[in-house]
Amino acid sequence: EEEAALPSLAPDKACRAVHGCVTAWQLRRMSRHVPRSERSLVCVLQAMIGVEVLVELRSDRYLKGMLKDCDDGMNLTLEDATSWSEPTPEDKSGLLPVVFIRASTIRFVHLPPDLDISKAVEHQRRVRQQVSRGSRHSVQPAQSGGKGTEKQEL
Amino acid sequence: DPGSSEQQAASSPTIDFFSPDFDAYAALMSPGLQPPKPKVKPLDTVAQCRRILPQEVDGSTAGAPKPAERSAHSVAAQERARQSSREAAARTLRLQAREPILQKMAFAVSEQGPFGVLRRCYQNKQRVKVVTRHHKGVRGTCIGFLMAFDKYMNMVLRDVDEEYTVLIRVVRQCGQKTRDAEDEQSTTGLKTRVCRKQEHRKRHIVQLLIRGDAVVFVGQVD
Repeated sequence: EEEAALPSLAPDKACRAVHGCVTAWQLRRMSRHVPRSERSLVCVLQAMIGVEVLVELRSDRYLKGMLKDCDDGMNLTLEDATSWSEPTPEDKSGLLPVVFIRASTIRFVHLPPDLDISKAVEHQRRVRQQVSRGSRHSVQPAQSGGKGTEKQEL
Repeated sequence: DPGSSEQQAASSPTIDFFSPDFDAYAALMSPGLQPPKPKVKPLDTVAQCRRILPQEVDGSTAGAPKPAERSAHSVAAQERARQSSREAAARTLRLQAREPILQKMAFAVSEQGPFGVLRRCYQNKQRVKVVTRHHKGVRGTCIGFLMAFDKYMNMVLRDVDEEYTVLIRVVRQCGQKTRDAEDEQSTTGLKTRVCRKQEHRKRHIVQLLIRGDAVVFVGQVD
């Protein structure tokens, strides 16, 4: 029965179905795959989730709040944000609990001055890889590896 | 004679390995002295010593049965665990050797062409001038060090001096000039008009992310 099913599947998928493993070139392709967030500077914003940022919109409006989420297209979600306009900065709005910002309306994002973007981005990538690999592999080895690299860089 | 010297060495109780007066320090300090069986494994733990104690002594495990041979399943499981730990170590090594993301992003663009300018500025860590826009025209210029960029021209600048214009609404009272200016009633023709004025502002920002679609052009600043 399995042999009858095999010709209809693509050869790689057949291999996976029968043996539960992936071919060598599939493995290479998976290791080469760059996630969409790492193909643009969105990774910098994703590394800043949980940090308070100031977003300047194209409409000369400011929104200061804690960055709750950033998706691959740079759409942002802020929490407990205050808003004011460039011409009238004294006229600030009250606390807005949840603000969704469409990516196309962003002009600038003011990053915290003490943030090292390359370190933050590398740390975020390590965290994401650990999460994707599952909790079976503990946190310690990767972190000790990371600390080792930081020492080398210093 | 080597034989007599050996006998002499053996007779001295401090360096005789089997005597109760054996002094380890003296034995270490005497040159050429070898233990009777140099290739014997040292006993590192108390549990190992218990196995050689005579059975009458309390705490001896001399007569205890040896642990059962490990099953094939256990051996296979240990081999799999060793393999996975080796793979994890290799993975972290590969991770450390991989190019940092931001650098990879910057070098993903071609060397020639428009992005070549940006790439060179990033490589030489130069100060760049970015002209930004709002929906209707040029807004201003940002001058800062280029820390990162991508193919959409999103940029991260550091130590930014921004000079920009803001369109603000100013409420003004503009008088309507009538032909007969001497007429006192010309004051009733006053209207409040909202005029739009361009105000120039300057500021300094330490770290800034500029979205690509707000960029007009990027140039080098020497």
